Amino acid sequence: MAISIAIDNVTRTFGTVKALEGVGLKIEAGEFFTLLGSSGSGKSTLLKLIGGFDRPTTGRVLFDEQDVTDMPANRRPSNTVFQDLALFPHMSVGDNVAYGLKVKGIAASERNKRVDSTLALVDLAGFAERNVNLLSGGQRQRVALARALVMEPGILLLDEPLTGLDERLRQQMRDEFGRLHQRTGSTFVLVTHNQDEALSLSDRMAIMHKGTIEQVGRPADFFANPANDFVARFVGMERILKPERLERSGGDTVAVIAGERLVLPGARDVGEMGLLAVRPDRISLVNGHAAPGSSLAATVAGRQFRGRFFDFHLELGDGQKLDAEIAVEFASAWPEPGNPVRLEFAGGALVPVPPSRTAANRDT
Amino acid sequence: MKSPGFLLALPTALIVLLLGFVPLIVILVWSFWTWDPATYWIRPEFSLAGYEAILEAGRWSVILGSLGKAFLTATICVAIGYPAAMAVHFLASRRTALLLMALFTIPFFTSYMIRAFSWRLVLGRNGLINGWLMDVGIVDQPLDWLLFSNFAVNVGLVASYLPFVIFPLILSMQRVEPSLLAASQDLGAGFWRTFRSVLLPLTQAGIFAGFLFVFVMAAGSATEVQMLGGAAASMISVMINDVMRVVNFPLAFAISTVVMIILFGLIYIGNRLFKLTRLFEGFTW
Ligand SMILES: Nc1ncnc2c1ncn2[C@@H]1O[C@H](COP(=O)(O)OP(=O)(O)OP(=O)(O)O)[C@@H](O)[C@H]1O
Ligand SMILES: [Mg+2]
Repeated sequence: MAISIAIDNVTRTFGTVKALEGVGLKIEAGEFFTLLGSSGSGKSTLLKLIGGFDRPTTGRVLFDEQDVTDMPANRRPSNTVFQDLALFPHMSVGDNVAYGLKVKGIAASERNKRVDSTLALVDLAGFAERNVNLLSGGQRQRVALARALVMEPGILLLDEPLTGLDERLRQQMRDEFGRLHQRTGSTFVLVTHNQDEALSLSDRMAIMHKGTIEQVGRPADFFANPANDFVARFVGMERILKPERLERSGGDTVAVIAGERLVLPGARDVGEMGLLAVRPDRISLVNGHAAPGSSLAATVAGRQFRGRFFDFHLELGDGQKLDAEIAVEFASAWPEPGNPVRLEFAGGALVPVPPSRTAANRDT
Repeated sequence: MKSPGFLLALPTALIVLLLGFVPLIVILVWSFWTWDPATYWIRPEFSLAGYEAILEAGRWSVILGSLGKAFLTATICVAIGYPAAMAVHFLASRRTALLLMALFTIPFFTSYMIRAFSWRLVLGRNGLINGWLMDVGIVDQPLDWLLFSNFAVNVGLVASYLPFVIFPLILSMQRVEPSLLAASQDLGAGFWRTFRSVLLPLTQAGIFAGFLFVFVMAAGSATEVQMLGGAAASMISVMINDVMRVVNFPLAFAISTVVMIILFGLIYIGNRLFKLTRLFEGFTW
């Protein structure tokens, strides 16, 4: 049932705009795969190429190893939940869901059975006669899902299906997606710019940036081994430090920052040009002594209360800035802005990352 | 209802009322008065003579014939205008679309008279079409029925009123979200299925509005019939003119009233069926 997808060196240009550039990607059959990226990064363009609504300028799209680049959308075994849902306003809920089956020529008796069971699957049993224009946002969302799922698609494409819903509904529909993925076993490809959505739902995900893919992997990989500083920033490691030097010593990586040596146990080797992504939850503040090799001198530049923790803004001796999240119960002991402190780095607090080629020379 | 919008609309509403509604009432009332042959004028005495006269001298058949021509013209205009509107809306770039729409309005730069006359040059015995047909050898005698015939009248009417159908159609197509067509395709529908099941039902208000514009104007037209029709051809407005010439006002007004009732009935039914008013909801340009 589930179908695998391969994107083979795809470029899509609109005039002078390169919406996608040399994208290669393999999505396994039955996977929940997410395309994550900021606005204009090419996510929708890629999804449209998979759905068959657009053609690559160069490159190929393959379903189960078969070239489908020239196959129009109506013949592809994929179905889409559109960003604006695109429910047919002149049809009832039931007719919306039955549309694809009617087009396919499925007999009325079987059609009705499938429509009813799919509506039940999305918690809309008994809604068949309703007017789609009078449903709530969440209900419309479910109709759009049902209309795609009733086709038993090998691939389900979802383009930012949760934007426009309030937070509680988002949570609810997010859980629903997970459950439906389990139930149907189809390949799900979700487009979003919401990091939480991507992390909580995906088997694997890709981070896109300016028409290229920066990194593909399991959600945890993006924290442990971000491919570059852009990815690190995108998954929430906002501060990136530039060390004077990064060297290998024994099995460890040693960074020299603001004149002090810092040992990063077990950290990977990313070469001399490397940067350090900061995880603010793994830094603590120390008064007086701190173990040499795992701490740096800094000045408190300010702090903000964030509910469960204080966000300390800190400045190193060479002027580089970073943040530390300090639990409320420890924070009161710490001095006001302007005072010197020592920062102690727990394992994994600084993650060596190479500079992103695209981010570096294309960011403004 | 003391909103600024109401005040702003008031002058226009009054003008429409005065220029449109009052004459209609006058026509309606006078159609029931009595014609006085002594004074050649009307007396305020109730009479159905005007309505009885409609049934005489083949006047009914002129009314029905006119409505028939108008119906045919409107149908043909919709059939031709729909693909044209689709081309403008779906295929053309913004600039080409503007250019095409400008082209559609060019016929209005010349008078009805000249336009109708130019069809004589195209459809006449020695006209362009007969000339070409004989050159190519499809016929060896010029076709007589091309000009001074119902055919010629319909050609003239369609050419005159085609633009009126295109604009409401484009307007209604602009209201169809492109993602709806993509969704139909996504669910397996090809072009024709999407056309029939999604585009056509969602543009029916535009279809009806365009049909109605053309129907009303064609039903009231005179020039095309006079210039292009056969000797016996008549049209409602031509007939009313003839009746007015002998100053039989009740009859002229009775004909007008009957035609108006038919047209208003059509608009009413159409609005009930096709929700015409929806076409202008959230109107933006
Ligand atoms: N039909 C088009 N014509 C011209 N440019 C386009 C077209 N479609 C997309 N683009 C351009 O391609 C780039 C990528 O667009 P795309 O819609 O794929 O971004 P996205 O990642 O989906 O963004 P968003 O999160 O805002 O939806 C953008 O710069 C966009 O302007
Ligand atoms: Mg998008």
